[in-house]
Amino acid sequence: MFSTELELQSCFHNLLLRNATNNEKIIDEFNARFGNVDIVKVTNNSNNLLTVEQANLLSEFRYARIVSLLHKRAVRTLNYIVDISGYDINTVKYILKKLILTNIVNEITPNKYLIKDQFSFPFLEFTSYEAKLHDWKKAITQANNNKNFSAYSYVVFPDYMAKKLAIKKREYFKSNNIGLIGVTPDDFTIYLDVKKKILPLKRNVTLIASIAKFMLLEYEEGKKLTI
Amino acid sequence: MLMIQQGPAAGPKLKKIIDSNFCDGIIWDPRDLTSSRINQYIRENIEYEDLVKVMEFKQYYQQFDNSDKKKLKDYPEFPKELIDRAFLRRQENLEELVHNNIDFQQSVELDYLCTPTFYIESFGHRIIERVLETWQKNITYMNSHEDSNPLFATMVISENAFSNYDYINEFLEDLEDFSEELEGVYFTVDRNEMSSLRHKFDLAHLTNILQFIYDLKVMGFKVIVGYTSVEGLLYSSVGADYVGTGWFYSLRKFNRVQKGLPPEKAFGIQKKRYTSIKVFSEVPLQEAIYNVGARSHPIILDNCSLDRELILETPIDILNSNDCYLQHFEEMYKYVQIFDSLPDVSDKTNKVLNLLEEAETNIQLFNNLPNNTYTINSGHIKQYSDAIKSVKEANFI
Repeated sequence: MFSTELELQSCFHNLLLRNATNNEKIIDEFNARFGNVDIVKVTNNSNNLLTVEQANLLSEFRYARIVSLLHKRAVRTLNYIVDISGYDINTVKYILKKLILTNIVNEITPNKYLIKDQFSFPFLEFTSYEAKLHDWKKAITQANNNKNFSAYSYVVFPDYMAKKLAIKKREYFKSNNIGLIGVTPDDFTIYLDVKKKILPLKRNVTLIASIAKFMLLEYEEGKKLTI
Repeated sequence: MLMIQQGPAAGPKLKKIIDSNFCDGIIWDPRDLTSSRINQYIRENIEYEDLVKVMEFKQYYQQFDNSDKKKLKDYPEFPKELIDRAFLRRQENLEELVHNNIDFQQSVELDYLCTPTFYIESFGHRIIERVLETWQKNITYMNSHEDSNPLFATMVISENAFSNYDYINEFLEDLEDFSEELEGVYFTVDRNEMSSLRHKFDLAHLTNILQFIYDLKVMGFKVIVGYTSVEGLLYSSVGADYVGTGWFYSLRKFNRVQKGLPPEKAFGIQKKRYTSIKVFSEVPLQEAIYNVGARSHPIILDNCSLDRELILETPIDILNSNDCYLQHFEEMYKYVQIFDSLPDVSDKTNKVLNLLEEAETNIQLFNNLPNNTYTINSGHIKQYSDAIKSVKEANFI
């Protein structure tokens, strides 16, 4: 049915695209923190957008990491940020300076920081898919990693393989809360669905950086998602 | 004993490791830190006083045309010419190499001095003659200057050089002539390959490396092995006095390609890892601990400070990388100390075999956890175990 993973991935991409609503975007090889995810569906449920400058900064892990340690109400000191982040003091100061310049962070008194009241993250929801022809264990391991930033995480197999896995390896998927999808050239079937994972932004660096990376992709393509 | 193999981004990492007392010494790297910065570290932290301090000037970077020399190229004492056969043929070059090397090391407070470091592809190559000649010049120079600091013959050796022990035997015979004047040998193995299996070793190579360490010890030399990971415990068990390890993968496994100008794609993704002698491996935190959950804890976690965060399921992104590097030192130091406390090589090698056996059992236990899809590779455990057994048998240990 499919001779390569790329063929499977490409077919599934087109099938997802066919079903996508106007606030959904399908991206191949999305560069999350721990390596590229085969396919990601991004659902945009808000009007907030990051500016290009903000997206540029937050797509870098170290900037996202510092932001993940800050709040809108609870003040964080420079020493606290240095201590928790493990970065040296000059690096932290430099990062904070850039975050202030891009209107993400506010220095309310010297060396005390809050996230700016006016700043909000766009409410994006990620669904990730790992496509494999055979190696279901590796697929589940990768899908587990994807849960760091995805509300839903699936593995995608040729339909005959997915059918077999749904019967013989059901418990692996259930206990890991990973969904299973089977694909034919014409359609796909969800054999095992997943429970939504609620992901707070607080202390989730991968999610913050992923939102920023998605916004950057949007800017690079010169078009925005329709709301 | 355990030494810090200092490398890039040293600041907070050094402080954490030294303040936690998880090491016995440090091997300074002037490629990444200037001597004045090194002296500043020593001045600012009294803990350095009790550490054994060594600095390797890494002249071998000048054996490779396109190597990334970083700060080395800025030192007036660092050789300016390519160190090739023509360079090594001229006696005055060898003398200059020795003088500059000693001068440079005098800029830092050290306990052991190093000879100039050469890269050795094979113990059968003619560069060995030049290497021995340079060591002799080093000794003569120090004697003439009444410098009584202990001196270590220093070299980086290609792993392939350990494929056959015949040339090594010849080298060891030559080395006997230096046994009175050299304090010891500091060597690093260039692991050649870029295997994705981080602990994998060629069995014959590993056996010969262990035999080499054992023979050096029998000859009365102190031995330092640089750039090691968990296999450093094998080196300790056959007698190595010090093993060096660092925070980054490149400081735990020396690879010549990584020291030059590697293509970017050669780098994998840097993962946070947990060093566990319970499984004799550095396992990725995400796959082996976070994805598997609490069931992995009794098998992998080995009573280190980081365990608390892992048990509390602190998000992996929030874990401080430096704390993960510190955990590596905490675990290695704990076991190196166990080996140091055992009276002889027989006890030490028996201990390492026990640890490897337990690791094999624990890996099987982990790999068979219900609904777990991540596998800890156990291939290296048998290699390590077989190598130690070979050395024990060959030397009636």
